[in-house]
Amino acid sequence: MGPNGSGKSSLSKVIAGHPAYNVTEGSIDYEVNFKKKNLLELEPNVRACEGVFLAYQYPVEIPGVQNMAFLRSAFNAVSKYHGATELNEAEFENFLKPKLKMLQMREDFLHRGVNSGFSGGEKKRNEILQMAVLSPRLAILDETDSGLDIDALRIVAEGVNKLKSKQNAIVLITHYQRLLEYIVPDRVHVLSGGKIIESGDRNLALKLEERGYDWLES
Amino acid sequence: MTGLKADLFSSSLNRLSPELASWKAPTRAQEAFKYTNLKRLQTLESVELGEWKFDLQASAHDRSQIFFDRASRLAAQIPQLPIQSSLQSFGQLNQALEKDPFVLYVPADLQLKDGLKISAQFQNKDNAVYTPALHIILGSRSSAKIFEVIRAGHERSLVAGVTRVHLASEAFVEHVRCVDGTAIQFHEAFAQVAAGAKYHSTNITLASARTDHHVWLMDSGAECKMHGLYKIKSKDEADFHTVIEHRAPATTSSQFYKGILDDDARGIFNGRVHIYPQAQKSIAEQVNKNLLLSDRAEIDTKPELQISADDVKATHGATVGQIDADQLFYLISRGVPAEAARDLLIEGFAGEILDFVTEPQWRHDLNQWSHT
Repeated sequence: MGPNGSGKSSLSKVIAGHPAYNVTEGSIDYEVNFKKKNLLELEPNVRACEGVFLAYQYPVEIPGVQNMAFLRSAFNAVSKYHGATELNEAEFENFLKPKLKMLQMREDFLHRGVNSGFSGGEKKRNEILQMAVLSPRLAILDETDSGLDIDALRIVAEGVNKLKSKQNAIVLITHYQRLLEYIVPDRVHVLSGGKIIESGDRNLALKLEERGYDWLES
Repeated sequence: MTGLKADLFSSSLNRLSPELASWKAPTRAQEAFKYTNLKRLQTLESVELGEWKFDLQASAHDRSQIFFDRASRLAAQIPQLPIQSSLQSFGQLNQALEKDPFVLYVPADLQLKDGLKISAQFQNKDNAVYTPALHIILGSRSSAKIFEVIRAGHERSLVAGVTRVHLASEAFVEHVRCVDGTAIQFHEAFAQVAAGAKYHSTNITLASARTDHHVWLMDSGAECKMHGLYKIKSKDEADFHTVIEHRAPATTSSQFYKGILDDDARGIFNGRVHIYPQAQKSIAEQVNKNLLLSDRAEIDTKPELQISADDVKATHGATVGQIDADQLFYLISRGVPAEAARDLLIEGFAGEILDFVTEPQWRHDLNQWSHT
């Protein structure tokens, strides 16, 4: 959590390896399956294969690329990286069906362009669908709750809770207590001016809801 | 064209037909050829006539109901029709050298469900001139899907092709054309559309070639939808020059051409629409979108609208862009390697035109050929 401009989105993009951000100092220590890596040394697609996932605040639209084709390319790229079997169209469609159902998405979402003509809520659900497909070890959800109505929020939150496990870590970037009613955090960190200024458990989020960020700054 | 080679080319043509005694290759001084790279013609020296034919792939059932053969063998069975013509240099060359074009005639009221694939077969000879010529005639209320394939992999050879399409009233044709290969290619295509008839044309160019496409919307309710894709690289040049004439009221036309250019490739899109005074309530749209994959690739895009009626709707637009960095990163951040991500976006861009090809096998073929 943290006020606007504190660096929450920037942090998530740096972790994902977005080319607009140039890291001049420091490292990002990432440990998965008992192997330690410095994320900054890995190409963005390799970071994704190593289990890093960023659900974007504003997912981009790619009208020419079919959602299904995109999801299958991503899944197979990650599978190939781990030496696992890649799936053909039919196999992948079967693999997807239960995940679509869980997120209450209709099959025609697969045949449309990626996020093309999707409402805000549908775009956010498509991000969680990708999370369900790729099974990341570290998922960063950047203001996934923004722009969602009550029902969409519930569906997304339930989806995330189903994907939450002992094998993965989820970082929620949010302003609002609303999402945290559904997805209960273990730790809450507050970012301000690019630094973590306060940490606590879920009660910290409740206090912030009550008193605002100014309370911390003072 | 100047110099010794040009003389060899011209004199070899003169030998092939007396009608070509005064034929001259076009020059950039002519408006219609101002932007076309004519240097390729300079690789032509002395040429001989190359043999060619069209092969038809159709179901046995369809084959028995249509007419397909050289004109001389079909004469009495096909309607004699007045054919609009606006042949330019290479069309005239074709007409002088080729007196017996292939004809495909779909009789009135016949509505074919399966597609007809017409592939040009060329003699395996370089230093030749090939003149594929095809007349497609659709009788009233008939409908067909035709895939015309011209892939000429010759050196120092010229392909001067002419395709004419005649649609009688209420007829419908989906005409997919693919031009590919290393020969120097100049194609002229014509379509004449009668009352209520629809001409849906998808034109794919995968190598250096110029296509001049002239459509006449002759009677009320005539419609033409033209789509095109040119996907070229190296030093290839793809030229599309279209002229659509709205000669009757309530006629509609749309042109949607996309280009993907890599390396030093060059594209030209010159879309002309002419709405005559009597063509009230006509609608004409034109869109050209280009994707440049290198900073040396170039596109010249020029719409031309000549509108002489006051109750019409005519629009045009053109874009030139590169691969969208945000779209690219989105794919990469999901594990797709950079090259594969780029390919997905390029295929997506081309896909919008290929999606107009309704036969899955043809779309599959085109997708494959566009990757070689």
